[in-house]
This record gives sequence, C-alpha cells and structure tokens, in this order.
Amino acid sequence: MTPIQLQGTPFISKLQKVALGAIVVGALGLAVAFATDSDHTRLLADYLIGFIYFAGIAVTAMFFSALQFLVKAGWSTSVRRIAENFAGFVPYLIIGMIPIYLFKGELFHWVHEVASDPIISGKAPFLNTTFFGIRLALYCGLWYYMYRFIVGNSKKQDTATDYSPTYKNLKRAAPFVVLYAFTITFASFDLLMSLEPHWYSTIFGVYFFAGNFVATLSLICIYMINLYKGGYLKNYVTLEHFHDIGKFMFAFTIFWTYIAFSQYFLIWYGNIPEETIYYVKRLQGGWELFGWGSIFLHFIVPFLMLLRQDVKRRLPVMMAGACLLLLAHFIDLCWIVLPVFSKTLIFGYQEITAWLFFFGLFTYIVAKQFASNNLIPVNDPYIKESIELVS
Amino acid sequence: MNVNDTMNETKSSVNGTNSLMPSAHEEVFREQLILGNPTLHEITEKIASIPTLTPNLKFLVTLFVFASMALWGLFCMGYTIATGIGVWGLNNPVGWGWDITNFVFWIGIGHAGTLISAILFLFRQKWRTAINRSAEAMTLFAVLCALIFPLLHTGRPWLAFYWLTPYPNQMQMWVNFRSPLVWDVFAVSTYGTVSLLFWYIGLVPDLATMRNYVKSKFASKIYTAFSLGWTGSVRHWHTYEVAYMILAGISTPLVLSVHTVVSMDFATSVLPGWHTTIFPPYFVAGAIFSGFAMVMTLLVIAREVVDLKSFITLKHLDNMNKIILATGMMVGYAYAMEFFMAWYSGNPYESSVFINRATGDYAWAYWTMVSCNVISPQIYWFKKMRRSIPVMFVMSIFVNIGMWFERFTIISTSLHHDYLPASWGYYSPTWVEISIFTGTIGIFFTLFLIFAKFVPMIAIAEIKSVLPGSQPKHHDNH
Repeated sequence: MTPIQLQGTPFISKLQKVALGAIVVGALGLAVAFATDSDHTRLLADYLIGFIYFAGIAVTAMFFSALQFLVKAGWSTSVRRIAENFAGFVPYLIIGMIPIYLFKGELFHWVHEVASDPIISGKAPFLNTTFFGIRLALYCGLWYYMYRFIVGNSKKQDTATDYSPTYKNLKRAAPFVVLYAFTITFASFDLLMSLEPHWYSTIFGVYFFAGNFVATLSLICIYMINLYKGGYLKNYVTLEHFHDIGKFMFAFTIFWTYIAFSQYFLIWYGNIPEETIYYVKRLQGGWELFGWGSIFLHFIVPFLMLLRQDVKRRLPVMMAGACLLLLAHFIDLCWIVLPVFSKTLIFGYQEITAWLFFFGLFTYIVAKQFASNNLIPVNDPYIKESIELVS
Repeated sequence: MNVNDTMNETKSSVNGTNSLMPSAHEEVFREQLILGNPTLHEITEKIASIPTLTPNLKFLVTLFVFASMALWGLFCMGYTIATGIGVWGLNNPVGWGWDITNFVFWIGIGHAGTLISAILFLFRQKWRTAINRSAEAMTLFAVLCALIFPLLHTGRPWLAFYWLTPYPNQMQMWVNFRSPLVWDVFAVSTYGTVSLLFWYIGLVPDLATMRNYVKSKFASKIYTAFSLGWTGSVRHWHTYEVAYMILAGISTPLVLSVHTVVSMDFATSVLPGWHTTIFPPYFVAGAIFSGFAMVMTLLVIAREVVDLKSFITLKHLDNMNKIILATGMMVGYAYAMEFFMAWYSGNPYESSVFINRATGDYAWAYWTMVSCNVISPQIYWFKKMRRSIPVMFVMSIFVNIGMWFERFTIISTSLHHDYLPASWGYYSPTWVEISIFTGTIGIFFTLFLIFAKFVPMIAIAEIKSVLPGSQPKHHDNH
C-alpha cells in the first residue's frame, strides 16, 4: 500500500483559502466589535465560545484516536488519521487559554465575589485564581502529552519496521482515556460551569463530553465526504465507512439528548431554586429560542434525518446532518455561556465572527497537518480490516 | 507481497511472510474466537449435545440446593403476604430497605444481557456470539426476580395490577403518572417483553437444530412446537436477520431507559444524596458493571462443567473483564463527581450526607462498596489478572457484592438521617427480608440450571459466523 500525501493537492489549497478567509473575516469582526462596544465582556464571552468549540473538538479528536486503539477498532483505521489531524490543534491550546486567564475577572464573576459571597467563599479552595491558572495549564500540558504520545505513535507506525508504535498505543490508550475523562470534566467545570459559580450539576462533565463527541464525529464526517469526493480516499474509504460514522453520529446525538434530558429533567422535577435558576435564566428573555433550537437541531431533526439505514450511505444527507450537528453544538455552547452576561437575548455578528476566527485558526492548523501527514495509516495492523469493512 | 495483505485474523498466518516483526507485539493481532478449528458439524454436535446429557449427581445436588433456597424464599414471601410487610425491618425513617435494594440489584443484573445482545450486536462485536444466549436468559430471570420486590412492597400484591396499571374504570381513578414508580412499571415490563422476544427470536434456529438432534419423540415435539416451522431456508434466514436487527435497535434504548427510570425513583426526589443529575448514566453504568459480573460468575462455572472452553475462550473472558474495569471506572467517576459536588455545591445537607456515608453508621456498607466496586477491579489493568480464572471468579463475586451494597448505601444513608436529628434511626433487615433475597438467588440459579438443561447455551447458528473466513468482506471498490 502506498502512502497518500496531500501536499500540493487542491484539497490543501482549498482548505488554506477557507482558513485564511475565515481568519480575516473573523479578525475583522472581532476588531469591529472591539471598537464599537465599550464593554468588552461580550467579546470575551464570544472568544470563550469559539475557543471552547474548537479546543473541545481537538481534544476529543485525540480521544477518538486513543479510543480506537483502546478497543482495537478495525473499521475506523482508514479514517482515524482525519481525527488525528484535528488533534494537531492541541499544542496551540495553551496560547488560547492565556487571554481567558488574563481576563478571568471579566468572564468569571467568582473572581471578585470569592471574598464577599459566603457560598462562593466556601468554594475558595477550588475557585481561586492561582489554582484556576494551574489547572488550565495542567489540562493543556496533559492534553499535549497525550497528543504527542498517541498521535505521534500512530504516525510513527507509518514508517516503522515493526508494530512497536501501535503496541505502545494499545498499552497507553486506556489510562489516557481515563485521564481524558477527568481533564475534560474539570475543564468543563472551570471554563463553563464556573461561569455560574452558585450553580452545580454532577452530570455537567458528561454533558460537555457528549456535545464534543457529536461535534467531532460530525466534523470527521465532513472531511471524509470532501476527501472522498476529491478521490483521495479511493480504495480505502467506502460507503461502508460512511454508514459506520453515520451510526456513530446518530447514536451519540441520542446520547447527548439523553444526558441533556437527564440534567434538565431532574432539575425541573426536583424544583430546587438554586438548581433551577440555571434553566430559568435560559428559558426567558428570548433565550428560550436557543433552548428550543437545541431540542430541534441537536435531537429531533438529526434523529429523523439519520434514522434510516440508507441515508447513512447518501453523502448529501450525511453532509447536511453533520453541518446541522455542528451548528447545534455552537447553539448549545452559546446557550450555556451568553445568558450569563445578558438577561435578554443577544446574538449578532460578533458571535459568528468570533467562531469564524477560531474556525479559521483551527482549519489552518489542520490543513498543515493534512499536508504533512500520510492520509492513511498505511502500516497499521488493522488497515486491511478497515478496507474490507462491511458495515 | 504487500505487508498488510498478509495480515489476517490469526497470528499464525502472519508469521513468516511478514516483513514487520510481529512476534514481539503479539497483542496487536486478533485472537481466534473459536479454538481448535472445529468443523460446523462439530460445533453443532458439541453444543446441541449439552441439553441431552443425563443430569449427573453434581447437577442434581446444585439444583436441589438452589431450589430449596427458592422454596424457602417463596415460603417467606407467603409469610410476608399473609402477615403484612410489618415482618420486615422497615420503619420510620427508613421506609425503603432491602426490598428496593434487591429490586435495583436484580434489574441491574439483567443489563449485561441486553447490552451484549443489542449494543454489542450493533457494534459488530463478534465475540458476543459465545455469551449472548446465556446472558439474555439471565436477563429474563433477573427481571423476574426484580419484579417480586416492588410487588411484595405494595403489601397486597393481588391488587397491584389495579394500582399500577392505568385502565379506564368507572371510578375515574388513574395511576399517578408523575410518579417514577409508575414509569418503572412501564419501563420494566417493556424491557421484559422485548428481552423475551429477542431471546426467543434468537433461539428459533437453534430450537430447530434441537428438534432434529434429540432422540426422544416427546422432546422433539416440544422443540418442534417452539421452533415455529423453521426450515433454515434463505427466506427464513432473511426474515430472521431483519427481525433480529430491528429488535436489536429497539433493545438498545432499553438498556439505557430501564435503569434511567430506576435511578429516577431516587433522583426525582429532593433528598440529599438522591437528587443529583448524574444518576441516570451512573446507574446504567453500574447496572452493566454488575450484569457483566454475574455473567462472569455463571460462565466461569459453565465453561468448566460442560467444557465450553473452546467457545468461551480466555479472550472472551478478557474482554468481559475489560468491560467490568471500564464500567467500574465509570461508577468510580460518578462517586467522585457526587463527592466533589457535595462539597462544591456549598449545600450543607449534601455534604453532611456524603460525610455520613463515609464515616457514619453505614460506613461499613459504604467502604464495602468502594473497595468492591472501585478499588479491587483495578487489578484488571493487568492482562494476567484478566485471564486468571480464579481471580475473575472471585472478582465477579466481589463486584456483585459491591453493587448490592451500592444500592443499599444510597437507599439507607439518605433515609436514616432526616433533616431533623430527632428522627434519625438505623435500619436492619429481619430474617424474612434476608430469606426472600436468598430466595430470589435460589430462583435465579434454579431457572438458569433449567435453562442450561433444555436450551442450547450458546447460539449455535451465530457462533459459526465467527469462524475464520466466514465474515463478509467489501470488494467492489478494488
């Protein structure tokens, strides 16, 4: 099997053009928002949404790769490198964290209230700026380490003379998945849940994971479709793989809904004010639009869309489904973050351009990864199984 | 010759022609799921012959022991019904004790069967074929045992139908649809029905095999009746596969929904320690954890007794132990989140409940739970342990004990300390409650032994599909 190099192909140049366009538009939007709005908290909130969106996908793509090693998956081998290229964004996360740490006072009101508010001061051992900074750095460090190990070994296997890189990944994947579970959970507590420092929910980490996983699968699907249509994956990826990724997207859309429902329903049913306040805020002042949007775009529409067997082999439907789920994930993050800063609905160009800015950065780095890595893990012990896949 | 083309599902075919050095990294390759390369006929012979064996003394003694436990349990159920549930140790403030603990415990045990038959089927996990039949049977028996407890707890079970089922009546009285206990009725009965259908559909081809295999005319007639005229024609197989796929799809949400509803029995309340959002997935993970442990307990014994070692291989047991480790870690994650949030919430009642769990009157139960569910499964990080029969047998018992104590801890610790210290109390079961629980253990194992005696323990038709070379492969693109 010959390695597939994308360097110099139209795919890369198209990806780079999209990326640069998005960065320019995004940066312009951010600049306009900075200049016209004297209060910069909204801008910071938008930054947080955009950053978490792509940070979550990058880290979860790394988890996806580790998971394939952990369960010794056969089907996914020929598409695994796509996820690994997404994970190429992980080393840059520490840079994105810096503004969040610097402007923590604007974003997280516990920073000011930790001394005066008796509830928040009780949380001071966890919610204090020093430990907060240490944790953010720690997540980035651990993610970077896992990324280097898992994706590094996966790439090393392409040229290796024995199976030791794969073997190393098989050994290390399990503890990494555990590590991922705890880092993504506490990162979601730090970056999202502590925006509402009085509020708490034990399922929040799982909720964040579920959203990320659906988004990551959807983005993998979009790249698969484009690469497939460009003819780069010939002999490696067939409709069977689309069927499998479609099943995954379908299943985890339901999983997200299940988790989101568990959280909403139990808080609604218990009706304890300190818990319901989170949803009360998000179901009035126009924010209910986002709530309903979530239900429709994150569940009802994709559920009906992806339910049938045959549609998972129809690329236009899969493309639409994947785009829809990526939109739904964005809406979900906006719904979590923005109501903290405004009682009434705010949604304008800033939210979109901030997202576009990160989309551009992410896509640019991912394009570089696609250009420099083999598209297919050619020497992987399971590549033959993946080629012969019958879904 | 291309490197990857030589790679096959078996190690043996890789050695030799491969330019990569596989010998040092054996783990990379797939293990065979059926050992000894039996022919299709040998597989049928081996599995179909098990129900035709004449029960030996060991089997009869085991059956006698469990049946006696079951009978004694049934007697105590009769005693409870005749006297009233006052014969149990329940009282204020602990109104739910062993009964609901046992209910949740048995419901949980059933989950491995559905997971193996439905979810692992959808995930195309070939190794499931050796264990799905017995796990599914176990599901049915576990659901049966579970149902006993809430029924008894109603006090007058002969009226339970009227209380639990919504039906139009002249009094215009309806069940309380807002009560999770009523959802339980729907969830569990759906689950029981679908599990039974799934198990039975999967059985039809094998019952036809038994029909042709058994010598006794009487037995053959019974197998004939239950095999529904199965001839093994292509048309039959086609219909069968479609039905199986649809049932797998229907069963998959049931794996989640049943224990989700069970968790809501607790989580929809506002009781500290019960009301927490992670309960639904946490209960589901715990259910699969305990279910796999019970499958392990049964299969480790079964593969020894009727010599199924070439079908239920160490690879199968290894995989199951990995799932036990994974779900055990999920349960551990949930314990950690609960504890963290009890502190983080700043809610004094939440934190006092959790401190009380770890240090109070029921600390012994709590630490039994933690050591059995979280600490001891960690030995499964080592492959040697995952493949040691004595270790996995002991571990499977540990996990079952741990999961029983998890439910007991959750139920008792939140109830026995009220908001009002004056109404605090301590709950212990009476001999009647203990006897009914051991009685359900007796019922469960008795039914399992009867199942093993009359029905092929392994899906004969399905297991043949995991022989090397029998998997469909995609070709039209190259």
